[in-house]
Amino acid sequence: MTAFVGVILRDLRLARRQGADIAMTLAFFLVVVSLFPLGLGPSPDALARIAPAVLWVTALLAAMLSFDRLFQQDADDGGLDQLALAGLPLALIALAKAIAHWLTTGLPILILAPVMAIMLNLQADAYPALIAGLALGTPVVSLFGTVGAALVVGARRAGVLVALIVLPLLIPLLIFGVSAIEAAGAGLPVRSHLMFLGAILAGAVPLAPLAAGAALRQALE
Amino acid sequence: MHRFANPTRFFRIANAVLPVLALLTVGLFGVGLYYALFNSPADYQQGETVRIMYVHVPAAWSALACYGAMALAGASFLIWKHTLADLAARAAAPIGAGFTAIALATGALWGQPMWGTWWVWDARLTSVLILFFLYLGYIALVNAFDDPDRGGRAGAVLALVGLINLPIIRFSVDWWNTLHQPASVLRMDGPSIAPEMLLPLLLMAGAYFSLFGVLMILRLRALFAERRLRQLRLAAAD
Amino acid sequence: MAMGEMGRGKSEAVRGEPDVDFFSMGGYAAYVWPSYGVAGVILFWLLLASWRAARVGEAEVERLRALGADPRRRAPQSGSDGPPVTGDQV
Repeated sequence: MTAFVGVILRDLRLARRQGADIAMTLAFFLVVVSLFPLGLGPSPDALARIAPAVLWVTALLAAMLSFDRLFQQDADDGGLDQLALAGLPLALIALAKAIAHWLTTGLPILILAPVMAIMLNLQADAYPALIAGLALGTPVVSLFGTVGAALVVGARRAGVLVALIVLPLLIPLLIFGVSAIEAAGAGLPVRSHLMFLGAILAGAVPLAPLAAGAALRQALE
Repeated sequence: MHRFANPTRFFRIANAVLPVLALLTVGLFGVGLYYALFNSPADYQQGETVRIMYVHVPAAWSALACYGAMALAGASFLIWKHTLADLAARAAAPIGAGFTAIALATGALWGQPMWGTWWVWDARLTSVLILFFLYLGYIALVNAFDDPDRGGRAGAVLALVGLINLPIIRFSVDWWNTLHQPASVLRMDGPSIAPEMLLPLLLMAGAYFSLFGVLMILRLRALFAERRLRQLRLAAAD
Repeated sequence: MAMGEMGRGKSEAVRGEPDVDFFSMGGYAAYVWPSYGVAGVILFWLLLASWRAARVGEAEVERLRALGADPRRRAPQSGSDGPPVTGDQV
């Protein structure tokens, strides 16, 4: 258990030292979301119409930014082997990494999203659905992304490759997340969409680390 | 070099089978297309567009079967480390991507006159699109490593992870209210499709599977040659 | 749109008649023919590309073997992996 927490804390400490990384992710989120009103013109209706999709897609892309390096450094300097020898299963290492990733990427995005939503003219009654959806969805992104990151250890163009592999798997998440916000905006019940997001999260928590562990084992061979 | 001892026997058999399979493919396509285009009825609701089914459905079946084969080959590679298994998975990937592309394109062409829309984000179409992206992701992944074995192992894990998509595709039309129609052939109580339509459908399916065999043998030969070339060049560099 | 409710459609009645209904596909020609076209093009392309790749690859192997580059004709080596090189395209 201490080893598990240790991995999380180590990643968090690294993230704090390289504070630029978190800031960069948030800046990316901010900049890309801003592109839409700039590109689309200030028409409030058009912006409100695309706001749910823009917020979700940009959140996904921003989360993708740090995956290619997630395991690379540990694989290179032997840290992964050490942890594995210390008795911590690769799957748990992956889970710890996913948690650390969410704390440094998903959580900040979750906090920034409502602010961004104001810029996009999102309807007032859609905000709870936005926050709830992202709260359920961003951990899934971290979990799936960990699988992708484990697969591309040592690969060329790992950054793009991770996005190419992981983003299609996140399509259902995107669909349910956006429809939750749109349903809220239209006054329709949001519960079923959020339940689907919850179901995906419930499945991802046990399964993604196992898959990532298997991928890491192949990377270490 | 014992790793390559088996392949010699494998390719001897494969090359003997190839002309038979090729003939079978041509024959099945010939008869299948005849029945599909000339000798089967139009649907009283869908009219002549039902003929799209004869290229669309077999493509979808083949796309799923191909992914299963790819995942199976990948698993074999992970377990037994036999190079031929890795090559088989790599061979299947672009073939499966092609079948999926056919299914998606012909599906859109069928959907527009029938449903009034080229695309809809229902469970069946979305999961087939994800299948297509999984194929592309697999191809990109296996080619992204300097060490081909490392690439093959990474790809195998990805293929196995994506295997969960197959039951989703298969049962999505049963679990959810989708625009795409439910299963009418492979059902517990037998096919619900008219026999005059079942025949061309099965003929075309046979043609597609037979073609899959031909393509697999050809691609395996190509990939094996590539590996041999790599080895020969490495040996020559010594 | 149950597939179970199939009926005898137009093509029965017009089977004696030549090509008009066949090519126009009851007005759906714009959908039916491109479908067969797309399927045909993709399958043919897969076939051609695979066959060419096999032929070119095997010819190259033969060429190098003829030049005496075959390691099986040399003294037997231990079966180890070579140093990593740039990956090949699938």
